[in-house]
Amino acid sequence: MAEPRGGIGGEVPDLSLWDRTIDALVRARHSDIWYSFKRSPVTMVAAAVTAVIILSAVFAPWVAPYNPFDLATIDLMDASLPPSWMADGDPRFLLGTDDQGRGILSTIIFGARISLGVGFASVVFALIVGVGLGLISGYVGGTVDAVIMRVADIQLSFPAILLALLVDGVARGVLPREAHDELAIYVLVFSIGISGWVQYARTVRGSTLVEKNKEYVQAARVIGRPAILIILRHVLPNVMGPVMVIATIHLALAIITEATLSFLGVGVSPTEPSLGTLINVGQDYLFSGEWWIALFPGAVLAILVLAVNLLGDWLRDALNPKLR
Amino acid sequence: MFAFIIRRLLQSVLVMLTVALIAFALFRFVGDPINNLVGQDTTLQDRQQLRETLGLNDSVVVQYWRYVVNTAKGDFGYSYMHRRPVKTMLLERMPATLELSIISIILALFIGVPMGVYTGLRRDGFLAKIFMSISLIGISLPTFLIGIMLILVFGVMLRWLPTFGRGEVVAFGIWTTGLLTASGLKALIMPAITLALFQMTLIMRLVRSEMLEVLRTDYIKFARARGLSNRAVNFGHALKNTLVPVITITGLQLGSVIAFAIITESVFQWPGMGRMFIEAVADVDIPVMAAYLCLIALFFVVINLIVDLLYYAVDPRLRIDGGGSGGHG
Repeated sequence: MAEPRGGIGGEVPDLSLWDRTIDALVRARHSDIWYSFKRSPVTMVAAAVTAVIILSAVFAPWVAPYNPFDLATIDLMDASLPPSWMADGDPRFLLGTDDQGRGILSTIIFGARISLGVGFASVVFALIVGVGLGLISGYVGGTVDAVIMRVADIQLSFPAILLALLVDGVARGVLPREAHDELAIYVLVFSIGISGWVQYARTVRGSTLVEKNKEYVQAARVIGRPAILIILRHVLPNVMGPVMVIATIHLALAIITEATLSFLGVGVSPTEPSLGTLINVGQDYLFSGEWWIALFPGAVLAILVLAVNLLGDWLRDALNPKLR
Repeated sequence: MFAFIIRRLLQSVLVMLTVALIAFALFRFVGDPINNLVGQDTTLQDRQQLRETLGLNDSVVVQYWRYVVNTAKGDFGYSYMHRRPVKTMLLERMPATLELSIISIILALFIGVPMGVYTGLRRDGFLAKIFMSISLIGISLPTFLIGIMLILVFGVMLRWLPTFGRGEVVAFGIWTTGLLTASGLKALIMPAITLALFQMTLIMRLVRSEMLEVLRTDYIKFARARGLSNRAVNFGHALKNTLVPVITITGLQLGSVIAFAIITESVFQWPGMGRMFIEAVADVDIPVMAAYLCLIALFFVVINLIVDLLYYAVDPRLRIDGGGSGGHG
């Protein structure tokens, strides 16, 4: 994994993205990772569960029995029906309906779409910021390194959720109220992303410090490649391994954070409910016996996070044979 | 030793000043402090006067310094929403949060450490595997979901425990406690378990991996070779050596427990600081947000400092290096 790729200068011909993808797939097919994947039934189940949830979220408009946001299909007469296997259940609504007559299954599928979307976007945002700052910190060193790492230290001593809440509160203060509802999702992605960059930066800085003294980087420097190209073409590909592990585990955390913020009522706007919002709404109905409104979205959230965590654990072990 | 303490103290002060700068920037630049204090019908002249008396026309540096001095005295200004001093509000809410957090961390320690020791010793045992699976679920379930599930089972279905509030409290001066009444104790059970669960899994996994690490060392092998009983080796030698990191992490976690109490407090409508903070975020009540930020930062910095100094006292190797780089997160 630590084998330097990318060659020196222009000696290795540039492969197109397509060739590279095929190359990577072929390599993955014969790699340890694939082998350890086939050996672990738990991981295969986790991967299948994650894939099902992600696919149904992506293709929500086709998968979900109803579009819960299409007012034409909602009938208040269907409100608060229990799941279909219970006495008063309706076969049209497998998991029952909420107070406005929307099918719980449909709201969950559309809610998972928002949860996963925000989760992925926050991870990508944190990854770009963290890897970027980590590369700079490790490669440039000196004062720049000291400042970035000091900020990281200070930020790391605060829980991510607190920081995300704070960013959200500030956004509420700065943006006018109407704009805030519209931008709520972006604010959320920013706040979750910005509270998660430190992990990436620290790891990447560590591996960059190791890589930059290796011969291939020195060689590239000697032949006069600009620093920015050395960082992007030579160092970056060789520090990405651990980053993928962090990203997977971070995805689970980002989904939890999004759900928590939405549950606390400071996340996405209620017109586009995520799983957290659905649980928040459903909580009020627990006391009147309508447990399915909160419980099913909660179960899906828990299963999703558990599956992603299991995948992350497996990936960490597969990429780090030493830990086995 | 002296130089190390001085350096750590200076670092802590620097962190606090940075946090105070953020809090000050929030207060000064997010929205107009005057608009948030007075009604719509206040004349321009009155506003100017208020601006002058509050010192908002001074230079930003002077204002920042004044903010730092006031904060150090515990004066956080007035809440925009409640028109009351933030200090009084915080003092009213603090006992509830601290009581919940401390009970939770005690709970987490007293259940987490034995579970960790057990899973470390019986690595492949059936019960150990169950503990490990439970701990993975404990990490994967969001705190608020655990709370809701407890409410559903023990509050709504079985009706054993109250689902919100703190029960009856007894006041000692400014401190109120729910630990002395039956209803207060009953109300504490579910929030404390909810808050403790994550820390418990963390402590359990930490103790387990430390135990596995220590059990591999030579002095444990030597202790066994000497023919000491399993009990003496496992608890007298192995467990004792795992406890330093456990105490450190638990100490550091106390800060995040107080912060995580935000979630538990909103699920159970616990009248603590965390819920006050959430309400402040929703209402853009900046002075309350800023005060909470400073207070939490103070907790963190003080706990970090104590842990670092304890480390220094416990681990002689740090002294030879001239006091490590203070690299705890």
